[in-house]
Amino acid sequence: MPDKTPFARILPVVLALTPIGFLFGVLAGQADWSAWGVLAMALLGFTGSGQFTYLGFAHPDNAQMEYLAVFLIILGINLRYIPMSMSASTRIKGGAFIKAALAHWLADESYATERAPDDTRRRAVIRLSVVAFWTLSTVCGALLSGALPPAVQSLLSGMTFPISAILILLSIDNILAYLKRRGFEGGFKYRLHRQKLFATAACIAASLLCITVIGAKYFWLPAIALCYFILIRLGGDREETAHG
Amino acid sequence: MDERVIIGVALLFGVSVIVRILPAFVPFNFSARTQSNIKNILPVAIFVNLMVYCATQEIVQDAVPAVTALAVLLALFKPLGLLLSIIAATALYVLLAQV
Repeated sequence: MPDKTPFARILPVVLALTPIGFLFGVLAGQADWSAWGVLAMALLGFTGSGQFTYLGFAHPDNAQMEYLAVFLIILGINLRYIPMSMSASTRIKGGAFIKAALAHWLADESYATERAPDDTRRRAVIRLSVVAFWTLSTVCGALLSGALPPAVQSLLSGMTFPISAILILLSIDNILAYLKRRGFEGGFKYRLHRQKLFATAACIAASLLCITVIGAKYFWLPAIALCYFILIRLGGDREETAHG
Repeated sequence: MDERVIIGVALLFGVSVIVRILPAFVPFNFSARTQSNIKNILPVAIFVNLMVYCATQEIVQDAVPAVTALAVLLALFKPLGLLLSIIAATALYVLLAQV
């Protein structure tokens, strides 16, 4: 993928993301949100999981909404962005506003698409493409929510699979890049590959354990910390990866 | 605009400030090796968890369609590419979920 333009790299990702954005807009429209509200939420609230979660709590049937609890739940769901933002922002050049805006519009999909050699402009194209498609699809969903037949609305309500599929493939792509890299000495390639493979398998097991024990909402930081420790101890690598 | 929507926008923006904007401005006062690990090893740790999270959430929701579609997704990724493999796997998922 490194020879493609940044927009060509992100295009299949945002096309697959569009039905999810449309679904959010449809559900928001059904909860009596205006298109302007959906637009503001997409641009300023920009977090797919957070938006769906808030929409669930903010349903008109939920009269006694506890905002602090909702804030803490959405914060817990999005804690994974802390290490992502730390590692992906090291290559962003420019003023504080540009850095803040690009950090705010960092998404799982853009993080997984960006590569080590990408400069600020290429990263901006990738991140802003995700924001643009997400915003457009959510607003379209809100505007068309009243006009969709019930069968289409029912079909859309179960469509989280495409976005999971994108994130799984992009994650695998990045993990394979790590597994294929040569060791820093260049002479122990086979041994280092086996080390990395073993370390990655141990990370998958650790992640599954954390989800089972802590739960899917709060496992992120402990699991990432545990996997980081495992990779440092067992992986033995010093070269650049996707966000180096 | 509805009060709940305005509060929601403010609430989600507040979360973004904490988890995305502030960490982008954290100065790296770590050793060279730690900085290298944050750049190179930390993303791998994140991707492993992202992959596991997405797969488990789909499997918990509807196991048979999810496992079947994920297997097809992985098999088709190399020959068909990202978009076509996702379209094919999603079509299969929808089909199996309605059976």
